[in-house]
Amino acid sequence: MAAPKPVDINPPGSTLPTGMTAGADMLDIEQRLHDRVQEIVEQIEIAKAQIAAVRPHEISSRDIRAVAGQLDAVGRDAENAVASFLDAAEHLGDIAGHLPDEHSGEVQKIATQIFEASNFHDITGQRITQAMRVLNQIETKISALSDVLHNGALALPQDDAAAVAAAEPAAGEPPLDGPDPSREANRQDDIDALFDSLD
Amino acid sequence: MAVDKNMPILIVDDYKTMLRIIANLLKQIGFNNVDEATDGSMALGKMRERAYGLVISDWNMEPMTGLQLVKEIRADEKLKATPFIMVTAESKTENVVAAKQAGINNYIVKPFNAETLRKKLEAVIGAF
Repeated sequence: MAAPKPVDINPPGSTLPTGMTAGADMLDIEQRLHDRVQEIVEQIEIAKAQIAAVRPHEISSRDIRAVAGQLDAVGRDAENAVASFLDAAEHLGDIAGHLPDEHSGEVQKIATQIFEASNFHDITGQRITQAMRVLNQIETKISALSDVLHNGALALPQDDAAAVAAAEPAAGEPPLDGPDPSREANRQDDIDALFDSLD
Repeated sequence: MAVDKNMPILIVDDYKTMLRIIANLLKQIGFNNVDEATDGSMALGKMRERAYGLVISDWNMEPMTGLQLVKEIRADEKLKATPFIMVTAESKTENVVAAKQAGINNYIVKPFNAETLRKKLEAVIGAF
């Protein structure tokens, strides 16, 4: 195999700054390059130390799971509470059926109020699901960060697509974002007006 | 003509608690003949076995959503005339438009009260 052709650092017609030779120029460039690479290496080491100080593995494996566990417990406790409310309301409804008319209506009204108030459980459940979905996405990203720290490899998080897919609507359907807590959200009156306008 | 309060009503929701709430509110309005399903495909199966006078369905369910359910119903010669009310937490304009285009008869946003349910029932199946 032929030896590589040497690079001509001083091609015909070019001029060097006064007092500088081609060899000196190369040394200067090499030194500056070396210094710059050294600087970058130091910055990477600082960044790795800072990421390590945040302890991404602990955030991912311990803290986020703890929060998810707490949210899950909120949902479970709320469900148990609502089940008790509904038991009581159904019992009131049964009692109302045996009361004289003048009292029956009032007791029935109280039962209705409990049923209406119990609506919150569905909304709570959907909000918890939304929060869990966001937590899962954060966990995936932090896991990826942790991998970079330990393996030095930057890879796209494997579960990211799955986490996003979980929030995607069924084919041909608009996104299902659940309850909208904003003040600008459509209320029943807005929806009625919109619904009627589509006739 | 007055509505037959004994007509069978199918309520569809993947939250068992919500099924219980709607069933109780219907009972208080006077509708006692209530059947339940926990997603669209189960509802469709029940509708093919029994004629219902009304379907009240959630949207966000798996494997078959409420929107897919109403599309299946409207595409089925035997079922397509069944009145359908969507009850959902989804309140964005694009959701309401998509549901209307799919053929729902009315739209209730959660959380709702007994009076809203009564008004929507009257609007869809007539005064009772």
